Amino acid sequence: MNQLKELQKSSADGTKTIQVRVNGQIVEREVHIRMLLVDFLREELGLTGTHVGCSVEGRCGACTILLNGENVKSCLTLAVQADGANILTVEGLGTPDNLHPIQEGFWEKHGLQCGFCTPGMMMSAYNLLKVNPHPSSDEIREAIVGNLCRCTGYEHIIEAVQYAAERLSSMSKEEREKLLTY
Amino acid sequence: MYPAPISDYFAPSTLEECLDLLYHYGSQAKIIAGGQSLLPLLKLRMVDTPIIIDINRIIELQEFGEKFLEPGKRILRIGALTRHKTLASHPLVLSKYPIISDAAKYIGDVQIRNRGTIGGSLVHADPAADLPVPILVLDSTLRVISKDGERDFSAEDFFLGLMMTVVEENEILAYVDIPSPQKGTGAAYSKHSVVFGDFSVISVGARVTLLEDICQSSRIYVGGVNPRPQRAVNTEEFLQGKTITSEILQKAADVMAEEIEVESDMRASNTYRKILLKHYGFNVLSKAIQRAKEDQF
Repeated sequence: MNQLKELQKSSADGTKTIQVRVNGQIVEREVHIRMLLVDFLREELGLTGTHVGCSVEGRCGACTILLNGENVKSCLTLAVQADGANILTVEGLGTPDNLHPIQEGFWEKHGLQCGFCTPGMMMSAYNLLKVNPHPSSDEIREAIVGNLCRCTGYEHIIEAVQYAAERLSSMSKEEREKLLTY
Repeated sequence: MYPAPISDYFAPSTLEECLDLLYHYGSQAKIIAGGQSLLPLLKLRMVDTPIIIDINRIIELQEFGEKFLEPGKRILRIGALTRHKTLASHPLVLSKYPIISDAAKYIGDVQIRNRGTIGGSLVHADPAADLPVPILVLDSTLRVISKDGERDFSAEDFFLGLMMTVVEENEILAYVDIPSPQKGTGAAYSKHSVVFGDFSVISVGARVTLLEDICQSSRIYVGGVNPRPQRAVNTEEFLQGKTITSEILQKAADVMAEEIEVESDMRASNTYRKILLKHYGFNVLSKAIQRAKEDQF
């Protein structure tokens, strides 16, 4: 049990040092064990694109990010659980001068009104397009069922994802992979 | 919303290490896997725990696949860390155990299914959860482990009541063994929820074994209405030995609605639940029988 006591000593003050790769950059921080991943991203790293909506049950999906390649709700994960993980947030998609096809889709098809749910929507779209290059409208609906939008009727969001799918499939395999394999 | 303060966090990489931790801290510790149920409870202060044990790194709990326990006795072993996503889409589940994917694909949403685990869902034992019903219907065996040894439970004995199972503070659910279906068997699950992906208002799971259209045996459970899924014994007896027709199934659904005790709550009145039960009871039995005939299990 010596090893366990050692472990306990290292974190018994309620904090733990974690290292994560976020949007390609490796960061290390000491965090409270009870800190949620979403708060870590927003408050510790200043990545405020990931939103806090429902805040309790993880129903709204505004905090959706990619954790080790899969979309998850960062308000239902502890920051310490992400130790060693690879994270992609909406900030990692594209830049204002060089939008990611998914962002372009939301821009072109006006897939938003207030924009609060948009970052989460885009991360779920990313997860979908990674495995399904030509999703039907029903498949898109199923993919964003965990992302609530209170403004639109979802129609424009679906068109935005379809636009992104078309843009991506018109690209070469290498380009596509570069844009979708985080 | 912040969870209650947590003073210590462990992420063991082997099962043995995890059992050591449970042996020492069991009464003060909570196990976290996907955390999709635990984190809301921590935020709402319905659970207050000084220690968190994160089991995500334990490879022994990630087992998934068919194996022979002894000659002729094939099972599907599902490690406690198997995600809902795997259960919803794995080719093996879809081809031989479709009742499990019936249930898993309706859990929450994509994000929840990417993270949530079967072990978490079963041990949490929410009466409206989706996975307990098929686990019961398929006569599964659940292996619970502690530093002192291993205990096996039939699914029927595993669930005690509202969010209560046989798992003790120093124990962990390691895996679920599901017997491979015999010829002529089909099983199906369906549920009614207010919003897609929500907890069930009622859910029904059924397994039927046919020999030339005659019901040899069946197993039926209804979830979402009681502290734990209730077995529809009278319906099973009613079907026994009968030649299956649409009319018989309709009558079976009536028997089911008659025998299951349902209560009213904020989601639905008991009258409405009875109506739902007849509808879903019929549909699920039909689907199970269709699968039995096509030998789709």
